[in-house]
Amino acid sequence: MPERPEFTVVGKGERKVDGRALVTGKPVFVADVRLPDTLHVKLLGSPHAHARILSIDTSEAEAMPGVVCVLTHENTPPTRHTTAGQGYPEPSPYDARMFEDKVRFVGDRVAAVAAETEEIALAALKAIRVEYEELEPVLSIDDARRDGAPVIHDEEDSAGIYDADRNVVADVDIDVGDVSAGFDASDVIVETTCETQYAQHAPIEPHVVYSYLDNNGRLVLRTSTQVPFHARRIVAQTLGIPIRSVRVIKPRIGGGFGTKQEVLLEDVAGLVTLRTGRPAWVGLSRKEEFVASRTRHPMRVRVRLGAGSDGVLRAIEMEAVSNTGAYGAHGLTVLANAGSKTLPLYNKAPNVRFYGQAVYTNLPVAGAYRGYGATQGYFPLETAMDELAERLGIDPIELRRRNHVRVGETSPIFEKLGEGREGVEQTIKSCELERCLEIGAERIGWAEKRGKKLRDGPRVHGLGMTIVMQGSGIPRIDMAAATIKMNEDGSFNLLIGATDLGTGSDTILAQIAAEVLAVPLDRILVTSSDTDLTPFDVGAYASSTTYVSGTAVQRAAEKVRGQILEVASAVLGASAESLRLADESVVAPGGERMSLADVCLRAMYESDQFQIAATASCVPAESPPPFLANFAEVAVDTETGRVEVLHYVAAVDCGVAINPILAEGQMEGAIVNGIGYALTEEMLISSRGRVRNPSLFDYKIPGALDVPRLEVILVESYEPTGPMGAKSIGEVGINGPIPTIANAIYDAVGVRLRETPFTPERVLAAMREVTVA
Amino acid sequence: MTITLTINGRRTTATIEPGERLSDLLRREGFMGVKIGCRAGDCGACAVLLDGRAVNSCLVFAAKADGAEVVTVEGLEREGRLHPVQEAFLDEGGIQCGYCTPGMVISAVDLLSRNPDPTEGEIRRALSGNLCRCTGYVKQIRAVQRAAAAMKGGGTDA
Amino acid sequence: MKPASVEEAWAALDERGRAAKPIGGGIDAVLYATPETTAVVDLSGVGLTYVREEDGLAIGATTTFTEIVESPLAREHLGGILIEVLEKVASPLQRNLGTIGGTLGSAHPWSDVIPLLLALDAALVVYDGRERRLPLTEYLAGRARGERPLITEVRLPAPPKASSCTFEGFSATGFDVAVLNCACFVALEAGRCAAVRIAVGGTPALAVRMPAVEKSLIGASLDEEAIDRAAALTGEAIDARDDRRATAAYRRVLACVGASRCLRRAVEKLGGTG
Repeated sequence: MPERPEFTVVGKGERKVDGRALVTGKPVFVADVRLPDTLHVKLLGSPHAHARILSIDTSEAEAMPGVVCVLTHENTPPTRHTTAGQGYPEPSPYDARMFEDKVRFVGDRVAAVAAETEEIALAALKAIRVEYEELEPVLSIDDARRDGAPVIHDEEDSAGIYDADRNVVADVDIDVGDVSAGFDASDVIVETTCETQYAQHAPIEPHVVYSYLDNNGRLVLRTSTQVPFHARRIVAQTLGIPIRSVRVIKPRIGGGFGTKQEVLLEDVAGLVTLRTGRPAWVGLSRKEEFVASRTRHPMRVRVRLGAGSDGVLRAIEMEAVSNTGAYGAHGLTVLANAGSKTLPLYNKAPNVRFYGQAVYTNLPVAGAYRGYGATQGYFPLETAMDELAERLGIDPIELRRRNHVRVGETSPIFEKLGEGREGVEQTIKSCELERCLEIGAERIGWAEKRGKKLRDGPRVHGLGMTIVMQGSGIPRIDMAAATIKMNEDGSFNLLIGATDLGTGSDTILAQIAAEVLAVPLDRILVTSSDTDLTPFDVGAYASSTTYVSGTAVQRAAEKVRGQILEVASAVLGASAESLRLADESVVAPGGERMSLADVCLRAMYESDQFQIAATASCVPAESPPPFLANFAEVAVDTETGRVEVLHYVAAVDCGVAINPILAEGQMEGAIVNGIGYALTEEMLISSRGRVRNPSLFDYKIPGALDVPRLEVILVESYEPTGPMGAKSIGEVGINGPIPTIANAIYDAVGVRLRETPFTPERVLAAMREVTVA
Repeated sequence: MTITLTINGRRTTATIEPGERLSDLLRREGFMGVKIGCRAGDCGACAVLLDGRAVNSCLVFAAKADGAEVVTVEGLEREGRLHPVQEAFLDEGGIQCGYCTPGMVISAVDLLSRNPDPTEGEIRRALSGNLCRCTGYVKQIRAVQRAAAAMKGGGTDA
Repeated sequence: MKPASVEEAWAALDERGRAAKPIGGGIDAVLYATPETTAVVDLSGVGLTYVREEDGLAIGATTTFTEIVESPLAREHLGGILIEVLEKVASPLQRNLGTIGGTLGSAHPWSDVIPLLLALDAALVVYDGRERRLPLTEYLAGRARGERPLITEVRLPAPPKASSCTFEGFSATGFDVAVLNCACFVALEAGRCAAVRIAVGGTPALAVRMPAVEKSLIGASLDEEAIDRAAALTGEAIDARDDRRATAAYRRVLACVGASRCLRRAVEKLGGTG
């Protein structure tokens, strides 16, 4: 491993730069600031899963006192676009309109009312008369692909749909080598098909947007978004206005996890403000957050593994069918990620095939969700590896050792499969999986407890393990930029497009700048995510911020350092190359110092004045994966089927951790979210396509009583292409729990679960082989 | 109708709608530390101290708070000095997006005011009504332990 | 409105009929508000917040769950079973607000409190123009018929010697309502079962006693076999239905397991099988 330099600010668990405001309840979220004449906007959702709107009569609603504006398909731009917050040109179909004369899921937008108060808006919604022609709904993947199935997107003007007539949004088929031959040459073949459920991000702050016209009549959107720049572009496109006429600001937001990588409400808020001249506020209720925002893609994924008796994989086949819901946002890319972020992990397999489709259904719209397809792909992959280990009589850890990618190696999948299109070739330059496996196994007590089926009362204990990876941004596509300008007290403004969802990116990016400029963290003043003030950044997704935005910050800081040294060299009488930065000063070889404050005073006021400042960008050439080894001990109640995770160990290599506390926090949050996804979270859909449990009362996410003894161990490596040696870490943690817990259940009670969530009823049924109603 | 209540030590008179909730009244009065996550008592983001006890303010009729003492997260700071629970949350990394934080802090303050030496189990139970999607609760539990230790030590510094 | 006495409260409620709701903490009045409710009668000033000893335990209707959990008298009752159950109900935020009277007035089918009180042979003191006392079972039956007297007090009889009470609840997460719950009261005399009360709730119907199961245990020695039989009978006897949380078939499994665990632990608490 390359030498890891000594850092001063990087590598420290510094307090978050926005922490004080958050812990004292300052009004820093979208909903906390409102001008006096703000209009309340409420949305009318469709009661039907699939229907045409034959007529819509808003006259009674419009006549109600206090109603200022009513929007329907009849008076809004018909521009087809995607709501997916992705780089242009977006790899998602343009299949959505602001409002349309067709509805495609229960809760789909029918109309919007802007009124003086929320009560009036809600009353006005009830007064809107809609005549629907109900159409046969498509309520499952199999229904969607049936011959003669109703066509969900039968409109003329959509674009980018693979085969609309068969409800197929996307189709992917890549192969390496020859899988048939590979299986023929295998001594053991294992196959498993796993299904994952509809799950929702449930951020504690639902989607919310606040729009207003600034003093110059320009539209400003203060929005809870992960993608301010994509939001600006897509709103401009949807409303048919120039990009320069929109400003998007992301203040503090209450969690995203992917559901806010979407341009969901900004168009409605923006149009209301443009039409009325007044500020408008649109916020989803918790019920709407479940029904009408975004969800995880439910998937059915089949994995077939062929290996020699030596345990080395000869062939891997993965077939995925993804339910993308009523609109195709992220449909192609999540599907592709089920393979692109999983298969390269086992690069020893010379023959690989990944193929599958994403299909439309008349169900809630799936979108981006932490893990982004990899989570769904790892379930069957790591379960099949566990089965393979058993068939071969090899310890599961050892089987991973014989097959996982190592430093200096590559996988043909990197090149073949990217974000929906071809990917980018890359060679692994940092990977501490071996140490992760070693440390994790020791902490969980693998040798002592695995296979022992230890009992306590009616419960049996079991151990499971998995390895997983993700990426660090989207190579050659993601771009991030940063601007740094200096102030005459030796402080710096750091302007970044990068989007802090609570992840702490403002803090770690400031730490990177502080490290390069040799100043304490509080000398870096962060402004982020304002399309007028900060340079471009794709936003917070694909685990890009630390790696991509971090590199942009590092480059900008290095440019600024160069300018500082030039200014100082004239005063210190030494060449710029010979100078270095330390402790808020420029230091010459002989020990003479000039403070940063003095440098800037000189540059700002005294001699050859100029603003010390620089902008730098980063387009990554590769996407170095963080690697993670997961170990779990579960207790299965043999009488009730209830699974409790007792102990979960995650040993993760994310390169150098810029801020270890924040890195751990990302892992802990992702793991607990993954445990909920594995055990208790499930959106239940009725036979008419309605979500039956759209509340936190009925959709159970983990609380403080449900968290196991959770150990996250940062096993540092040094990624030479990353800023300060860092890789990203935002998503990878969520990929572990489902298959790790499934493997642990198998160790405990000898049943393989292939359908999430592993509710007590399902587990008991599997143990008893009783049909579950 | 008109009610009078004390919010963070200050007597306030407010005109309310009959069915209005305390959470909405508090936000109307400018206390944005009271967050709205569900309006159903399921998430705890709106927690405040009502006559010394942590409750979901979205489940309380504003009228019921007539004559009561309410403390929101904004009321925990004393002359620019944070409450030990707040300091501990900052030091332990118990804050990510911060949306659940005010409610979490209120629940922790309530716990420590009547149980200065809680076990981990008691801390988990005290926080069980505050949902968080970002942190996985690990550092928040540790923050409460840290705050308890600091408060027992007699200081207000973490 | 906030009356100062029970009589005043009742007068206000009686006058308005369905348009008025009595509240303790008011949680359910806020959550389940209907347009027909135009008045809320806050009982917290009526003097019904207390835990007293009175031939057992007397708990005022507006006593919050936290107040009950913090009461040393409540802790002494039957080995602390009240504390054991009530300190886990809902969330601490809701326990600080919710009252025992309020929970009985709402009678949610998933309630953990109601099966516990049924097992404890609770009686209620109510007021509807006159004060009277009736067993909880009768109150619930009347409630099902639409009767809504004002609850003023919950009475738990002093338990006989050699008796214990246990509770078992099954839910998905820690802050969640029960998929099914079960409470058992057992009293032994000369090694045999002198009294037994079993209540199962969340089936998904409201908790009820299990008379057939109870009858099968009276006079019996509560050994493994007897408990297994009773548990199996419980599973069969409940009124189980499918709902969002579970199927009827699985609820029968839980009822059986719940009764089994409750009875076993109740016997253990008394020092072993009869």
